[in-house]
Amino acid sequence: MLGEFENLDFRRGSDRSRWRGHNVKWPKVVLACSTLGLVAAACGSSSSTGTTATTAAAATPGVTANSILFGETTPKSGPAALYGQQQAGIQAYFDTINAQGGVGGRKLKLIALDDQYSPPVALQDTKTLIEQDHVFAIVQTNGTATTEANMPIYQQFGVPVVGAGTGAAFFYDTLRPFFFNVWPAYTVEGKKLGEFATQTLKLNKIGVIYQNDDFGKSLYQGFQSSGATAAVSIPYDPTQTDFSSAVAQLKSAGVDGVVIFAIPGPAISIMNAMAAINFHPKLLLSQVSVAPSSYSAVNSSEINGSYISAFIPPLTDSTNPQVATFLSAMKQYQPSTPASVFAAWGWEAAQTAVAGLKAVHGPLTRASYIAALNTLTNLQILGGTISYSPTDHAGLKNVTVLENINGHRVRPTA
Amino acid sequence: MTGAELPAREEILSLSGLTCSYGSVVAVREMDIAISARSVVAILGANGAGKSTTLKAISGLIRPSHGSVRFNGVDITHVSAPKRVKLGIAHCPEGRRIFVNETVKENLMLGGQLAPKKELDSKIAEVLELFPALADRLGQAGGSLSGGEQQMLAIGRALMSSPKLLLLDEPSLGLAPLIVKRVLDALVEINKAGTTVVLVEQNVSSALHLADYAYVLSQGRVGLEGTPEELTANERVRNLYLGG
Amino acid sequence: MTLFFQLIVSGLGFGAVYALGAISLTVIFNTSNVVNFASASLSSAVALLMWLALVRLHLSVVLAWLFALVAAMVIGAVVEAAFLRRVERSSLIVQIVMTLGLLVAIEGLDGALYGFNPKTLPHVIHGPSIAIGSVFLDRNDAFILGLTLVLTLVLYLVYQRTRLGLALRAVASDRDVASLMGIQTQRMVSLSWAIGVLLAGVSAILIAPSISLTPTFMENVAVFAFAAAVLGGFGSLPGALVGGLLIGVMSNLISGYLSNNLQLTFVFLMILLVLYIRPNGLFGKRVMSRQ
Ligand SMILES: Nc1ncnc2c1ncn2[C@@H]1O[C@H](COP(=O)(O)OP(=O)(O)O)[C@@H](O)[C@H]1O
Ligand SMILES: [Mg+2]
Repeated sequence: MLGEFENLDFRRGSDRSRWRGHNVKWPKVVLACSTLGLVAAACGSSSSTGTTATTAAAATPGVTANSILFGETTPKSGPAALYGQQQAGIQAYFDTINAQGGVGGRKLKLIALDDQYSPPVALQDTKTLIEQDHVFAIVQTNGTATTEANMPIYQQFGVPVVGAGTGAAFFYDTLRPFFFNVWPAYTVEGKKLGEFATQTLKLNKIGVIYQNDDFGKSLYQGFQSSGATAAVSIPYDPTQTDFSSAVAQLKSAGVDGVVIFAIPGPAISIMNAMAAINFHPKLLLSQVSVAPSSYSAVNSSEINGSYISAFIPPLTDSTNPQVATFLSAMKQYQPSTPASVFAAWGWEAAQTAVAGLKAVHGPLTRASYIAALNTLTNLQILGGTISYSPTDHAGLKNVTVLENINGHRVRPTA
Repeated sequence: MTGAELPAREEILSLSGLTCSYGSVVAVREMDIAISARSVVAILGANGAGKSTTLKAISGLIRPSHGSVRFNGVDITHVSAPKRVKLGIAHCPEGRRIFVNETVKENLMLGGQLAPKKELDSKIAEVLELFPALADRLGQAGGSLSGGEQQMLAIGRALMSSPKLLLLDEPSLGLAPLIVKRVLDALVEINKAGTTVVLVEQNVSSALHLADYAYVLSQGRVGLEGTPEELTANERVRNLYLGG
Repeated sequence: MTLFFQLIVSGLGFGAVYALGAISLTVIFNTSNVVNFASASLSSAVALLMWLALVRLHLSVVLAWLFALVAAMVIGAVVEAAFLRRVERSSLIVQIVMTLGLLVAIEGLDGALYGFNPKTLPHVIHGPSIAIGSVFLDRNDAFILGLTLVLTLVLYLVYQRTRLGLALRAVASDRDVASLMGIQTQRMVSLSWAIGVLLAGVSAILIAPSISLTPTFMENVAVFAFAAAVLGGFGSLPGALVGGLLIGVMSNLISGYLSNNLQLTFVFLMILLVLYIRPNGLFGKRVMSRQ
């Protein structure tokens, strides 16, 4: 049951470096460099064909009289393979729509490739999808570093992209006409937690510990934009394991609440280190900080009663119609994949992509599709409400704060 | 260990067709040597002649590429160095190679590593009787000893395993004449007690003085062999090693 | 002042873990002259086996420990026999590449076997932290510290007072001559790898409950352990112990008063400084090179 709300462990670039390790392992670096070299060579050789493809495109790529072809790249092998469940979510939604006759008589098709959570591989996959398979659009990529790596090639071909598993500022600060975020920005999430800390919990003195990279800084920036201030703020390196000093500083500063903007590994270490020095402030966590699967890793008294930001509703709540539809479609079309939060990410990206298709007037081209996406207003998807405009591609703006009670995420009692 | 085929001549060690190489360098070629029990045998020859390699092949530090090593009538060509110690072969290597960080006593204990623990004290006492200079240095690090004392320690360490065959690689190298004499005197005593001694030396005259039999190696082969008298009579030996 | 003492006390727990890691490196280096860069993945592998025994096989705690400890020793001996023995006469760089290769390969293998999702091991010692005035000492940390001290003392006595220890020291200083003493040198090297991986594995099992258990979770710890071994003068057991504790405490003080973010940087700066003044480390007598 908790598994359904399994959370993300390997999302950002800096996070990757943790799992792949960057301290003492030059053989990997060598490997990575050689892979990059290969990819660079591939880029060089194929860029000319790319340009001719765009100019020669009389018909819209990936669109036939009775089908529309989408592509997705997520990790399906390696450390982050769980994220590959997004594919099942997308497929389940496409199957649901196809069972209703498709969109405008066209059935939705999906080509899914495995990017192994590696930027060079993601780039290669994306080139394959666009240049070889001629997909119409991309629905859901996964992660900050991978999506950043793909950005030039989306741009080159003007391929619409709907949904990326990241909330990093890079994707929100600059508006790219072809790129539509579905997730809420990390700054939105940080702001929500800041407001919750000051207004709802009315904390007097707050400490913040954040990962020293785009992910952590975006969250912290959002926190500050809420008007909340941190009495102590401690950046940490993603590879850090010993947090005893960091929490001792927070304790000695006398804070009554601590906000943790961390990935799961360090988040667990931080909470355990707090218990070790008998320090029990109110805890506020970013949605990626703690996966329910790792609750047991934390001294239970710490996690219990802590607050966590969230945008996917509890997937156990079948009274929510969005959740109910998702669960039954997963059961019907993707019975072998758990109806996890990862599948939910794919599902809501597909919901958004399809809503865009339905809004197209006249012939379906990439330009008409992008124009149609820009008109979506108050679109209800699994994670909340989305509105786009030509100047706003920021995705979900609703983040809620839930309370961790005995291993469940519930509406806060405070 | 001995079995039925104990040789009539009471041969303790024989090398036959022994060939040893380091990569592409052949250090010892088809060497045949036979050593009688309780004798003192000298192995002489210029630098690089293959003397040390021969001793290493006997103690098992290197494996020959061809040929065999027999000890007390048993083929030990494929027996490991530590097991040869157990059979009764002790090798006191070139350059002494004592354990410099370990104390004198620990060095001696290491020599007696295979001996029962309760015999260690008496064995150490025997060594100290032979080399009294070591007696008040037992607790000192091996590396702090003088060259002569280190050589005594190296020989004493080899004796700790109560060997039947003692291999000594240039024990007099770099020692003052007086010390050399003391060391060589000790060898005579060791031999008298029943231990066969194979002595590699550059100090040819004193080696021949001690030895019952000698081999002269050149370029990995036995060039000459004979009793000291025969060799001293040989003109080439006189010219090359005994200063004409 | 509370902060200062808390930083020191908290630093001792991780410091003891670094010390165990450093002692593991030392024990292995002393007989085989190999710096075991695969330590991080070997120790993680042992902790993952502990997890396998407890969570998947549902063994009792005692049996699980037994299983993990035996497995650690077998892994150590097998890794030495299968990989390091092949390169024991090769150049230093070949040996380094071999251990780094093992690091990557074992992590990959564990990743395939267990996945990279964080897992958990229970604390060995439960209960609230011990209050010393206003400073708190985690019970698990206290246990790790005590165990590390005992293990170091036992190892030290074995090395200094027993024939086995003497043989291990002889193999360390001159392997050929040790074999001329009748010592089965190969066996001593296998044994020290078995003990080395055992110690590293114990440190991983003990620290896993405080951090999260993955195939790579010991990487960061191993870097500090390596630093501790260097600081103590690679090759000295008391040096490794003191080096580990010192690094645990110093990195906490650095993080507390200078910058949490630059912990690792300052620790290595400190080591550079120590090596500049004492090139063989705090306790070192042998230079870290092959004769
Ligand atoms: N470890 C080694 N590696 C390569 N060549 C060696 C080695 N040891 C000895 N040799 C060579 O083998 C030959 C015989 O050496 P050695 O037995 O030491 O001679 P000796 O003891 O008579 O001076 C020499 O040519 C020497 O250079
Ligand atoms: Mg020689």
